[in-house]
Amino acid sequence: MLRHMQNRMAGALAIAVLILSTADVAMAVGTAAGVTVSNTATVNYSVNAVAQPAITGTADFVVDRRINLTLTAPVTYVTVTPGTAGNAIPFTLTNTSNAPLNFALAAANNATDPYGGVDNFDPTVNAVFVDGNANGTYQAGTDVATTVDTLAADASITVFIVSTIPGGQANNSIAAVTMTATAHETTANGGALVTQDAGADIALTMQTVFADGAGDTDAARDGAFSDSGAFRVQGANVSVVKTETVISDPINGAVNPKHIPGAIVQYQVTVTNAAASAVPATTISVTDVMPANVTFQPDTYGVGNGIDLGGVAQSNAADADQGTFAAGTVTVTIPSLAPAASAVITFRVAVN
Amino acid sequence: MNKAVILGLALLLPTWGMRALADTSGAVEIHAIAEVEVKTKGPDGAEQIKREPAKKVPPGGAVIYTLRAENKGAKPADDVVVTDPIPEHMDYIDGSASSVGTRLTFSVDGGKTWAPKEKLQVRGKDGVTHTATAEELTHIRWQFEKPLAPGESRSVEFRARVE
Repeated sequence: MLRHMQNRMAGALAIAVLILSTADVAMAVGTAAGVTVSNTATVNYSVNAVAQPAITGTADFVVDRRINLTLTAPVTYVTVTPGTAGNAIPFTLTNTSNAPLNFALAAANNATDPYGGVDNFDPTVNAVFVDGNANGTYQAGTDVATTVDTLAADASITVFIVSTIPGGQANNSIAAVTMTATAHETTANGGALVTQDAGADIALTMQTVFADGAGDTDAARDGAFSDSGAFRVQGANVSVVKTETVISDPINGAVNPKHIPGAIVQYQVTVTNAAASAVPATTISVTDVMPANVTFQPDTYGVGNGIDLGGVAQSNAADADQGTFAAGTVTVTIPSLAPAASAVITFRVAVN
Repeated sequence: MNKAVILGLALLLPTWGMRALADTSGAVEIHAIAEVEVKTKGPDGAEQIKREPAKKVPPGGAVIYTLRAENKGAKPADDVVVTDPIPEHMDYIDGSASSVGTRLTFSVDGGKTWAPKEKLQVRGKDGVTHTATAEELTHIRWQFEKPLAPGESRSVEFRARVE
């Protein structure tokens, strides 16, 4: 009777790879790992035209664990200000395995901008965090876990790369960064890195097959997935242009004056916040040290007012207005300059 | 009474992941096995496709079920019909059921009515009636065209995919 138990053992094989259909990639999570699938067939028959009792036969197997995961990055840049920390790019991690898993997270700099621009700098610090309160926004005190703990089959969670942008980084600089998530056993099962089972079956052990695709920087069927986002600096691009014009000289007066001793020369300093800047430039300080061989003219715009800012006379003394002349230096402060706006500073000197 | 004996025997068998048991109380026995196709490299390095017992199969994996009816009795078995409910968590793979020497029919209503697959009509959720899809089948049935002689075995097979 016992011989009716079918028991074919596999022969010695160098490598055995289970053939999965190509439709795998499009399938959903699938039947939970560990479920027993049981097939019971029945045969009915008669002998001498007399119907006999039905007979059954059964074949079982256990559903294996199929590891799969995806990461989705934002569709465009996260804009950042130079010299700031705590800048976060959110990624959606989805566990498309048929079993719960932990996921380890890692951030790395990438030289390729996923949005088609040119990566030209790296953040000074890259950290990873899990969205602890599931609100999609990085909050430093709340989102403190750095690994994903027991994400259920077919569930998603937001994870962040959090970076520090160096100070002084030019406007429109781009730093691409890549998040990699790697499948680990759940905390209850020890949290170790998940490995794929190859070769012969091991009795009574649930086996694991990797079915993940290739992400930006990882291979298909490696138990990991990666995707990239990028920071783009949106600072203000401030430029300065200085021109000089000779206004008059003692010999020619104001008609075709020349740069001879005694001539009055006007300097004009134009500070511009580029139209393409994303933000106003703030707390601008323009300083201009008088060159040798000229003398600052202190009363050009009224007694004691040698500086003009956009048509408004500024006194030379250090006071509440925006201009000062002291120790041979013109200093003008501009609290804020909107994108595409300019400030024009004018003053005159005499050629010694 | 025979059934009690068989249950006793079942307890003695090792509890391996793969289980294939047959009811042995009548002249005809039916043996069911589940296998998978495995790509292997033989010792000479050439790639081969072999069948191995299905022990652990991940979602998306295809399983080949082979059902073998064997006449252990001394008299011919007539009107042999093998009926197999498609297992839970499995989807029948269209066109995979063998049919040589049998009349092959399917059911979509749990085994109440039977017809060739292309004749089975199902009313969808949208109220429109359509020909049954592979996923909607509930049972497969093979009616043997000829009796099973004493000592003869005949096999049928089909494939299904783990959901």
